[in-house]
Amino acid sequence: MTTAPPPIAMLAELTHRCPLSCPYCSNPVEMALQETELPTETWVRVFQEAADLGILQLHLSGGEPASSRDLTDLVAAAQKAGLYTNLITSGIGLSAKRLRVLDAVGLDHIQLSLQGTDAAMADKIGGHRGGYDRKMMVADWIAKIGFPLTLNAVLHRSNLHQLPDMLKMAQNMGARRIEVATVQFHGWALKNRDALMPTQEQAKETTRIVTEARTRLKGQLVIDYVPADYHSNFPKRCMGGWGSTGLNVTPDGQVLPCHAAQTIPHLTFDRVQDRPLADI
Amino acid sequence: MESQEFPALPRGVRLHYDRIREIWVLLAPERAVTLDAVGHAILSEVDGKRSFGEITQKLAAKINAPVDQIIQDCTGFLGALRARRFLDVSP
Repeated sequence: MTTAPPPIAMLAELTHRCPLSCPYCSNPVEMALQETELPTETWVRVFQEAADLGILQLHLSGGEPASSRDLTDLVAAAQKAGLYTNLITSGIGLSAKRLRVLDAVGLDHIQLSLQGTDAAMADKIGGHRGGYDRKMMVADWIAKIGFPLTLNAVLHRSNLHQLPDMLKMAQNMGARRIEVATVQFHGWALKNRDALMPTQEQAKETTRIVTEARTRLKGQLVIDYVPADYHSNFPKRCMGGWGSTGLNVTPDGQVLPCHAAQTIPHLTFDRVQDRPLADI
Repeated sequence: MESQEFPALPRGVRLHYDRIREIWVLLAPERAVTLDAVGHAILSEVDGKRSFGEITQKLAAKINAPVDQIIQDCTGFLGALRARRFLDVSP
């Protein structure tokens, strides 16, 4: 019998609630309801169990993790467990004061999403009026505090032309990294595939821009790139291999190999309420 | 990197002893880099207060190796970290 090496990362989806409604949301089409969300003390136990298992990096995600009232307590608990703690957020729900408290309890890093480079695009994609302006304020507060920042830009047919501006924006915000992620077709994105699918020209142009920018911005801005689905000769590994290095806990406690696993029919998953993480 | 420059780990990048795998790792935003003994020895000297020249002199004395060789190794290793924004360098 072989044993899989312990995972290094855990994605904790604190809630599926979110003020935005992006058409490519990575949450399952059947979202977990607020009443089923794990209580704080269960998350605290799971973080400690994760650290004992060899998890090094904890990604606090959602939905919008800032929609969780206990976010600060959860970051504090993650730090106590010795986990490198990353907040994956749209910025909506974060105030300057809340960010300062998160700084005080030891949050290591923030990944801020970007739907577009202007309010017209971003708020159309996110479906939340005023969201873009708020996000720009949040980015400013993040820079003032000095949190290490990654921008996460999800690209698709409507906003791919904004990529050069997104790269500039990342630099202006003081981000060290940008994830240039062409939309991956699972769950919601698959349902909205016709509207989101980039053209072959767009897919090629994106690769060209990324290649050029990686050389030009070497040492200033690190660019992680997820190329377009369907435009390569061979299918990629399942989720690019995430299942072998990470695990995902849903708001209602199910433990998945990745956030898209629930799209595979007939699979059932153990829950952290029923068994310790090490047994799962 | 020049001998009078000061390398430092920026906020959000830190050394961490992984007690489960019994190895040292460098934790960075959404990345964990496994360190071998050489990498750990170099980063243990990086404190933002000592110059690249001082660090390489100290390492050379510590392991009794030619300083040119140490400079070469450190330049390659720290340069790779710098390119990934895991290391800041100030004059």
